[in-house]
Amino acid sequence: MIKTKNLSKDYGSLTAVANLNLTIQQGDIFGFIGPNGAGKTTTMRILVTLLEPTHGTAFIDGLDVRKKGKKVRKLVGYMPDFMGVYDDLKVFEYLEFFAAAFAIERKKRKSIVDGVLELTDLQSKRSATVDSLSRGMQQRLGLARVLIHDPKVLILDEPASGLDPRARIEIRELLRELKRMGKTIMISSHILSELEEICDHVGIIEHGRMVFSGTLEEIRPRLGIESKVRVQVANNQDKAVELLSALPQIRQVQVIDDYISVTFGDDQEGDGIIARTLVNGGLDVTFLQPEQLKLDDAFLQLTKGIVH
Amino acid sequence: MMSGALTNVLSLLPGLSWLTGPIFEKELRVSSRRRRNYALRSAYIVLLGLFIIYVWLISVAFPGSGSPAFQASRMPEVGKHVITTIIWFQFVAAQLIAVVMLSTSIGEEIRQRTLGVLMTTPINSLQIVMGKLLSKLLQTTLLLGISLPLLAIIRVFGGVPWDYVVSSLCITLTAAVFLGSLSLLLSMTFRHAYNVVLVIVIGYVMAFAVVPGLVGLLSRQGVFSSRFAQAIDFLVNPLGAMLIRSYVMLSIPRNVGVFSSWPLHCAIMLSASVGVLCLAIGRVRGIALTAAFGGAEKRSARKKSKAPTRQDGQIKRLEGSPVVWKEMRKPFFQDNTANIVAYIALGVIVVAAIVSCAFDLGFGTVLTLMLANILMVLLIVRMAVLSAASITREKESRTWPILLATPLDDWEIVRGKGIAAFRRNLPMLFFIILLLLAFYLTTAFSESGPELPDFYVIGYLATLAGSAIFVSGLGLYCSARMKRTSAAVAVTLGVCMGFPFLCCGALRSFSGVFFVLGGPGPGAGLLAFLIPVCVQTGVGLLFAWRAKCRVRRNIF
Repeated sequence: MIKTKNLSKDYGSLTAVANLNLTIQQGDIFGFIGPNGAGKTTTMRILVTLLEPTHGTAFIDGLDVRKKGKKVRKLVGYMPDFMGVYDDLKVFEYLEFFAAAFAIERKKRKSIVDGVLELTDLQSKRSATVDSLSRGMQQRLGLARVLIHDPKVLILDEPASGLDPRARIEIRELLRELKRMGKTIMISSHILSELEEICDHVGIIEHGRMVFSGTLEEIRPRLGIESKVRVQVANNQDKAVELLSALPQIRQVQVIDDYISVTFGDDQEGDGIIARTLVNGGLDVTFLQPEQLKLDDAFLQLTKGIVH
Repeated sequence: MMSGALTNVLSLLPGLSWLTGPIFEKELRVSSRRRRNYALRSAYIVLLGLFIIYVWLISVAFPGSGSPAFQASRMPEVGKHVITTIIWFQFVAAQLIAVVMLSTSIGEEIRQRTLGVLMTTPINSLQIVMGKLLSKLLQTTLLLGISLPLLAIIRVFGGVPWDYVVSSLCITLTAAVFLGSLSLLLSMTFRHAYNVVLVIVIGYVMAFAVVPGLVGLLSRQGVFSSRFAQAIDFLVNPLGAMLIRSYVMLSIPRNVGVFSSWPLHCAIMLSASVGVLCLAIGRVRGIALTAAFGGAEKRSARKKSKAPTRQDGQIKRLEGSPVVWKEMRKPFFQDNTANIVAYIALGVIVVAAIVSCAFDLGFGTVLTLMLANILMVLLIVRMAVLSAASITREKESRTWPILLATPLDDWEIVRGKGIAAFRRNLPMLFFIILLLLAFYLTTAFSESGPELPDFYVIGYLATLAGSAIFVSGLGLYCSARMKRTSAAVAVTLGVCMGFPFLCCGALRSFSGVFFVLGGPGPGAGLLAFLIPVCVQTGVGLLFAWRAKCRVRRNIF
């Protein structure tokens, strides 16, 4: 649904995006991650036709963003990192304005606006002036606006920034709902743990270059990270260590406080084999959990903290 | 560099720190890093040079003939004209620069949210106000200083008394201080610098040009003593004071006796400045706290709680073009009552002018034409402001990228903004047309016959239409090109003032040939109006087209 080929953008001598290649499948939620000044916003602005790339091409649903700007804009709902509001409009008027801008027929506008107000839980605010809304409400209104023309693709630049935990959870739920509706979503955020929960794929960008693109599971081998499992037994920890050390799939067994950390060899996984071995050895397993690779850790390992 | 060196010298002055705190030094340091200040100085010198060359050419070079001895004997007279030119240039430039420089002084701190931070330091309101004022006035004084050597050299030609040079400089400086203080005070109220500049310029023209003009008109009718009116004018009006000083120097008789004391005028202007500054000092803390701790929201919440709550039914449904609809939602004044009062006042003035013509009150014609011209200037200025602010405001409030991410055509957006600017000025346009037509019809049926030829009314309206298209196109272009509303408005108004001199003035002179060739017939007269109108319309449309081409540049 979204594809870029050697996409580059220069601002004078500064290269904001350099030969970026990116593919996002239909119905995916793609998390776009990178330090400040890495080129996330520039890439998104090119995709929504607000900036012209210096080199390369970008396609939305097969349409070249350079040549078919107007058609691309009809397909995309864009929410910028800072949402400007028309302070002299009411919520309903604001949404109706954008409905008209997207050439939605007048007789259909009211029902569509009411629909997105319901989806974003803003019905009670339909008569409120836009500038009187709280930050969280304004972000929700921004989401309502990008949904007004039922776009296939949503490009959201840090939609949860500056929101309190409750508002962030609400936005996350809304994004899940949109995914269920079949939308393709590209989202950038600094709150990596949130992306981890909702994204199918992530792209990590630094210095204008994509340093990683794929699923979270694909990051592990890329970083050379071994699979680990933490185990706790009710009795006889030494015997457990002895049994696990004898397994050929396991490279290392370490005792950390009252836990046992088990490291598998290359491309080896299997918390099942650990449980089976310990139970067969007559031990009570009280805790067993594979160690998750956190997106924060991957981000720190993949990026060097270089900013423009 | 010059400002930096001055900072070092002035920071050594022991008496200044209690008055200005670190604000003065910070302002000078910042301004020395801004390229626009160097551009301003360069523009000042170039313009001053051009004016002097122009005066020199018309005073010395073009009269031409005559022996060297004769030319030498004319030098004192030439010196007078050149000095008057320099003095008047300084007078206008210093006031304008002081107003423009101080128009952002407090407003910018509020926008950048630094005023509240200043209030958490031991810096007091006096230091904030004086630091801002003195730093900007120092730069204005520097500009005046640039032309001092020139004044001294030309004075060698003879014929120019020192008294005139000194008094003019003092009048200029005190006027700059007064207007600068006023600009600083208003920058606390208005969000945009162009609002401050416009309010001061319009207020200045009304208070120091239109009102004295009307008083002069009435004194000619015998209502006032002419001498008394001139004396008052001299004491409280810098423009009047400067005019009278220049008349006296150029030996044009104007006797206003003891009231012509320029030190008294300067003392009055300085006292007025102190009053304005006291007001500013009194307000600055409240403004800062409001800006920092959300007083504005509280105030607007109070206002909203007083106003009846608007229900769902009162939502205005969108009709026609979304861009035009949205622009038309903005009222002329924020308050609807103020809108109605302004239009009623305008209506009353127009009717009064028409009645004065109908009953032949003597000055009806002058008054009506003056009113029509004032309304036309206001219309053009308002149209320039609305069109120049139309895109930059969206950039400032960051709604511009959102609008451009919709499938609306670039031309649709630009055209919508232009149409909205025109439609919002329709009431004023209606008043002007009403005034001219009523004036024409009332005088047409009088015994003496119409005071204006037919073609004049048509030509006047055509000029109005041409100017409106030109100004709208130019405003939209500046708005698409620039990021800040104040910059777009300033450039639009500057070009609006300069364009007639650069282009249409020449064309008007050229089209005047039709009068000569075709005689004073209505056809030639109308043509003389229409040629500049066609040029203005063409250039205006060209600017609008360029605006459309630039819509997607400088978005962020």
